[in-house]
Amino acid sequence: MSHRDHSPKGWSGLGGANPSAAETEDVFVFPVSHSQQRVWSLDCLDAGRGAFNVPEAFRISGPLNVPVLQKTIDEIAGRHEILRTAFGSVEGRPVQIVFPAKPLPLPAVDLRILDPGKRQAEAERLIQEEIQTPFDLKAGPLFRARLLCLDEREYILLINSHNIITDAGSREVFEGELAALYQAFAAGGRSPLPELSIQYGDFAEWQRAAIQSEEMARQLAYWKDRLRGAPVLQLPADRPRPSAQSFQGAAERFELPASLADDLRSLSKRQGVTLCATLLAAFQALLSRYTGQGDIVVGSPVANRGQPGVENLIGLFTNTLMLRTDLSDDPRFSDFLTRARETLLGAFDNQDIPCEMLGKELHLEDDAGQNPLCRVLFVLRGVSRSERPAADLILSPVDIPTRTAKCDLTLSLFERAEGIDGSLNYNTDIFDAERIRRMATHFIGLLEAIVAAPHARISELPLLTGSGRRLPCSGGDPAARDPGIPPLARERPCVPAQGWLQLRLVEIWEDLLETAPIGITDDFFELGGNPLLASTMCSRVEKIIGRKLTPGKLSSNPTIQHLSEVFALTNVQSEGTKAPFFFLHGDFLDGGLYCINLVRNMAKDRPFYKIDPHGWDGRAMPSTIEAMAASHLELLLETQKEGPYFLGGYCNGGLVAFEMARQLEARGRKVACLILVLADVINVQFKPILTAVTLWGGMRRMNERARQQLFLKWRERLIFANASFRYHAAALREVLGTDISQASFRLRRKGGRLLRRIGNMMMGRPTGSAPDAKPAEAEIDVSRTYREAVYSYIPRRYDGKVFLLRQSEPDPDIRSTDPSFNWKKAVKRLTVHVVPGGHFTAITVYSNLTVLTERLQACLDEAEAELNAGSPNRRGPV
Amino acid sequence: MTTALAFSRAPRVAALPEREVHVFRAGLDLEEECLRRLEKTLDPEETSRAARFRFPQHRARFIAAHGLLRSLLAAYLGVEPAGIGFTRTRYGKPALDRPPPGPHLKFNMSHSEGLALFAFAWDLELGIDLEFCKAAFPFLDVARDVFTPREFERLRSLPPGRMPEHFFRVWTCKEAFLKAAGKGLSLAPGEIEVSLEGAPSIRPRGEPPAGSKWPLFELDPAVNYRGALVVSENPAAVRCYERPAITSG
Repeated sequence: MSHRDHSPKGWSGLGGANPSAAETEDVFVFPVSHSQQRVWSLDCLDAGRGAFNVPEAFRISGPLNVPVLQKTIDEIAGRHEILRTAFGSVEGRPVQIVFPAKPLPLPAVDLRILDPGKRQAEAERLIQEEIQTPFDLKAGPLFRARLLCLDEREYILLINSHNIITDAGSREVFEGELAALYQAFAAGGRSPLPELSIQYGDFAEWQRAAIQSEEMARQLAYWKDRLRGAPVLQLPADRPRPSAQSFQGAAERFELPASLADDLRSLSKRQGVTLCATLLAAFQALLSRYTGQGDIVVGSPVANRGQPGVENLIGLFTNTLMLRTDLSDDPRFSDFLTRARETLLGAFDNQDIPCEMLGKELHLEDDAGQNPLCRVLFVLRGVSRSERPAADLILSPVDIPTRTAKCDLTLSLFERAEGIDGSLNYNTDIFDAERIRRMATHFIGLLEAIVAAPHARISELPLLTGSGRRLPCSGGDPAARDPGIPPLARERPCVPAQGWLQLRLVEIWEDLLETAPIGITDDFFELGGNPLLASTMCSRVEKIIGRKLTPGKLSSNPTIQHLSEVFALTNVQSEGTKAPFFFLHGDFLDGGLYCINLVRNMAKDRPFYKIDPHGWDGRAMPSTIEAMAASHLELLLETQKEGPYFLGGYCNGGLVAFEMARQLEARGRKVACLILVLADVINVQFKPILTAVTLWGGMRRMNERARQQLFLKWRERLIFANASFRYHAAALREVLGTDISQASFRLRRKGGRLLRRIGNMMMGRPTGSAPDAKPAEAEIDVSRTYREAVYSYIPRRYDGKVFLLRQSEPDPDIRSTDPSFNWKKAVKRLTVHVVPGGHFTAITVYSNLTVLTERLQACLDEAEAELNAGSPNRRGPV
Repeated sequence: MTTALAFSRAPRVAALPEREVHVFRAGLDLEEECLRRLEKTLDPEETSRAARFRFPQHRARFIAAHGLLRSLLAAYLGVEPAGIGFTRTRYGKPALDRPPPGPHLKFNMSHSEGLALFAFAWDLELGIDLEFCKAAFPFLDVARDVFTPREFERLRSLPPGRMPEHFFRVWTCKEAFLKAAGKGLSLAPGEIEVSLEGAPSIRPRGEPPAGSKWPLFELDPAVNYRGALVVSENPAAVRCYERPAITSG
């Protein structure tokens, strides 16, 4: 269809147009752009509430010349055909119709007739009234201006447009032209603005043609691939979505202080990404924490004014890009930043294809014709508007409170010179202000955590830090809860969470059950949990904490305290009818991931459980091997009530397993098998010191911990070369493959710390006292506690059969040629096998691990055979 | 959906014929006075459980649900509501304690938000589930853990707009089955397969569909709610009613 068609035939819906005018003057008809098509169809749903009005207000200070202002606005309306456009339909398809230029009314309201105190309020009322007055798309213009006079030199110019003809970029164009034209006209001159080379209608036509191009086909293919299987974000809301959208909304404002903004900028620089990428990544991390989903899509409107000539136009150009990033593997935030950057780069390279078209081609739209992947938006804008001079006037923007929302949630961030302003615009049909306020606080907290520890894993980043952190349970003070709820007679005290695992659980529960504070002894179901919430919680826990939880487990352990105990015991392999094997994997840094490789090569005839060492979840831990064993024993007996028991452990876990076996036998339970994997008794030679310390400590009534510390002090003094130095040197030697000479005695004290630092650097962990050292400190504490526990443990007599899997490489810590490696003093029935590798590499190198696994299996089978031979009529374990 | 059973007005008489299942629907947000009367009929265990809820609304709904259950049972048994004793099976399923000789009155109850469903039958094991259909909810995540692979694929193949409803249909069917089977948590939801194509059916995974032993009925209790009923044998009829008025006494 030619756009200079004068014929009125076939047009419908030109309600407001004067038919005779159509015959005598030129009206131009253009196709609509994709974005306009979308707004056109949504506008039908609006029911005249003005949800698609885009208001803008300027405060004008100075001696305003009203006729000049009128001339300015007429000039702008004359320049931009879009401001004289209405919409109709031809053969069922919407078209845009450009009417000839005519003067635009500029109604003025003089508020000086009111008392000075009442003028501002009346101005606000008039603004709201204007905003809520809808436009009729069929009758133009879709652009209205009003002038409010508050005082001699104080005006408000109110501009209202329909979304179908404007966007954020248009506002800037308008402001610029307003100032420039007023300035020129006030001085009696002519318009200084260059002629517009194209109009919006031309852009729409271009877009129609360009859709067929190869470039668009390429972009379509990109998005098809990128968005395949993209999940819809399931944000927890306060109410279900109503079937009819009301577009009602509100906005929550917040601020990122200048210091935080600076930190974010320097972090972005160091990581080689833009601030936009950092903020986007943080937002997606927040959404992931809220939803428990790992594959996050947010929409992001971009200016999309790349075509030549378009940058000076008023019109709807904004395109929404769907930014999808995956964090389901719980990456470190710094790594996730790189992914966010990739997402942005790819999106910008493919930003021309209209979002609406993607929605149709990729079948993303739901029944209501909406694209659920664009329900949550992220916007970062440059420096927000400030004052602008025009002749002898000052124009400054006026903030208008937001009462609408086109989608569920939009996070807008405005970069200022100092600080960053933020706004969360939300759909009030489904969200309450309180929830959004909390979200804003969480977002700030998350950003603070990110700058403090950018290498932390996303699941580790707390949502509340610094000043924002509230004490979850103020020592059981019932007033910390909602004062509207009277405390009930059986009120349980609120026990606060300890360690990152419990803290995570509290966060998840508080969000799902929508109540706070939650203490670790509170029952899930008494807090309002039901089976559906239980299943949701289990999914979330699996996503966020990485542990499998079933509603069944929750039913038997309905409090966070119970759960955190139960989490230490994980079933790695569940098949088989033989007695389960409990393995203390000893890895307090990574949760014993190597067990997955272990079970892969083992027979599936026996369930395999791994038990995490204490301290892995950040909670306070026992300091002696005996206490650790006693604690694990409770967990063990809950899972397997009757013997015989099959136990094993690696390194510190081996010592704890040994002690557990000893304690079980002391209780009269049968242990069928005990396998010690690379577990050494380091200090049997110091038994005399231990005896002395025990006696001395008894006399002085020292507690267990104090005695342990005393023993360690004396032990240290008696060793020629620091065992700590050698231990770490050995470890480092394995990692680096170099030989570290023991020559420097001075290095001994510093050496430990230095080596630890180097070791941490090698493994990519934070070093030294940088702000992000906090997680490392916690690790060192646990590690030190284990070292002390191991060094102060001297195994007592155990009569059962013990398999010892020893490393093939000599360990410099053991100054003994004892073939039983110091175990013979405590164990009579010891069988020693050798496995390839050193202390760490026996586990970390896959070929070594395979041999170790075979050995392990052989020991289990041997013990099983012996058990069956011994009691042929034995009942199977319960 | 055309097979989902609708609810009619309360029957005038409490008469439960053999081999019939009666299902009642009741709102749980009752007036203070009514709530107090119902509270008086609860036993000490129920009263102490009620007291432990954090939210007064949950407490009130618990009292309403258990009080209404008693009053409905009482009508069938011809006894006083306060006089009914409950026990639990080995797996935690509630049942009547020391029932009189003769046919056993079986029952099951489910409530979600402000609505409850109660099912009754003589000598037929029952499981009933009711769920308010939340809109903003991580369906796929939960389904991944709770649905069988085939059910999950079916859900995932639907357009996003249809997912919530389908999820809750499958969910309520599963829950109803688990409650009917009464095996507590020794039966995992992923072990049973729900099929909603054609006539809805449910069976433990691995069993052939033709031999489905557990008749399944979908219920239409209210807008934005889904319900399901599973019975141990094919009943002669399933009747769904609004609950009768609570008589004072």
